Amino acid sequence: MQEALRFQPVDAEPVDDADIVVKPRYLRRVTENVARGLSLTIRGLRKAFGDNEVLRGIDLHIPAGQFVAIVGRSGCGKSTLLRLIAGLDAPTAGSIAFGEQPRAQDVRVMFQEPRLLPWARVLSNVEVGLGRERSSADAQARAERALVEVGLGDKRAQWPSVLSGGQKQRVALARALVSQPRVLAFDEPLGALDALTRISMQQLLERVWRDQASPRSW
Amino acid sequence: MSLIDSLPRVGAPKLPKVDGLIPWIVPLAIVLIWQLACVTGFVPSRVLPAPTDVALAGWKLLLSGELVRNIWVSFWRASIGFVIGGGIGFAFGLANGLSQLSAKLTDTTLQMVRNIPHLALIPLVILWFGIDESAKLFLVALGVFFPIYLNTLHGIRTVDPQLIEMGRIYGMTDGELFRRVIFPGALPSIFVGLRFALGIMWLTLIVAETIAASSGLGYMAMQAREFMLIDVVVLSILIYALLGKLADSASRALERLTLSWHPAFQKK
Ligand SMILES: Nc1ncnc2c1ncn2[C@@H]1O[C@H](COP(=O)(O)OP(=O)(O)O)[C@@H](O)[C@H]1O
Ligand SMILES: [Mg+2]
Repeated sequence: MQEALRFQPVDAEPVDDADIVVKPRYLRRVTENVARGLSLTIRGLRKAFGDNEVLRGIDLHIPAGQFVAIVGRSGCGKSTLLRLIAGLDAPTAGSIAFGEQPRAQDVRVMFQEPRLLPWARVLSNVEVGLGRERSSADAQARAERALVEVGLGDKRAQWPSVLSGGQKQRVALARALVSQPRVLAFDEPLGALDALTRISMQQLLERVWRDQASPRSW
Repeated sequence: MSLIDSLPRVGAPKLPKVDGLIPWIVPLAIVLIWQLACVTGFVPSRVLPAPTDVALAGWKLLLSGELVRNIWVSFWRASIGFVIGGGIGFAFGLANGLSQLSAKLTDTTLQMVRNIPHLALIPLVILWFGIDESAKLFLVALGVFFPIYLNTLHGIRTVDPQLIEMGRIYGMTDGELFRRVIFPGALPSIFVGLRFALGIMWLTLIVAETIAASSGLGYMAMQAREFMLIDVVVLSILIYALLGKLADSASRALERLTLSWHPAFQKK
């Protein structure tokens, strides 16, 4: 059997600001996959902004290749957790460990906003995702492949400003995928999209996940 | 074939060709009315010479070489002063936008100096430099410094922090971050500063040359005033207008070239 998700319950007593606790019961395992991905182990993770304690002791194990969704009310700390996992912020206490030490381009985040460079063509926006490998000889070919994978091969020479919201998020997805990351963290990347676009994006994400089999959480 | 098909179509299809000329209709009309007013004696030529007289005066000065020499001197002063003041302003804008320490150290001082109208320094500048070239260059540089400084600083400070964070996540070095994210993000604001600075550059130069110079367009206008050559005075003013327009067009062209990604510059 595969190792199941494990959560240590957050302190049971009622808290004054219930919104800012990650509620384990909202966490649900979606599906699992054999992996070239990395496993993720979080122990006793705490994060406080001043007096505001957002995360209070999170314990979480995600086996390699698993697809995990973190669900919770707005402001409960989902983004904060993801930012800690992606190494964008330092935890107040606790540890985050991957199965093995990831290289910089092994962990990629997709945000609620596409965060494309408006002054770079679609293709060079995708190339940004290659990180340090940007200057390698096959950089452009890889970026083009990633663009084709998200179905935007014909938009390579466009400015981001002419794309629709869903297309921008697909470019951001191509940028996240181009370095073939082993951990992918999505922070409500579909939140700002309309329902129909969201459904097709979800299918795209699932397909990509099945093809690449790295652990993803969102 | 119906009658309607054979009728000539008016308007719409022809418009694009005329489009580029539309901005010139008003100036042309003004010149025409001006000419009419002078020819009919409605405006005495002591008050305002006719456009043809101004053109004639220009032609004479052109032949004597005086016009070209004075325009060249003014143009040279404007450019050098602009490069010096703009360069320093840009450097301070970059430094204070990128480094907290640098901003803490110099921004308050610069904001204080900014509140002194730079033309108020003319008496002091004349005492320091006489009516030397350096006096004019100093004034132009000082005038140009602040719009460039302020807008560069503002541009860098308002670059989307989410994009900067994205750049860091994707492993950009500080140099790449500046080149690919910060500078392009600050560019629209820098251009605003540039256009302001060009306006101030001409203004400063006119005043400085009018008060203290022995060559240049402002000097030419002042000399003409002494000899009651009103046509030359008007000519100088028109040339200033033309040079200002040229500088503005140049900066717009540069803007279109470098900001082609910006939705405001995408025409289809
Ligand atoms: N940089 C920060 N400084 C202070 N408080 C923050 C910061 N980032 C997030 N917070 C607080 O942490 C809480 C959780 O925010 P977030 O993780 O963005 O929630 P979610 O993504 O689940 O909607 C919120 O109450 C927010 O105000
Ligand atoms: Mg969030």
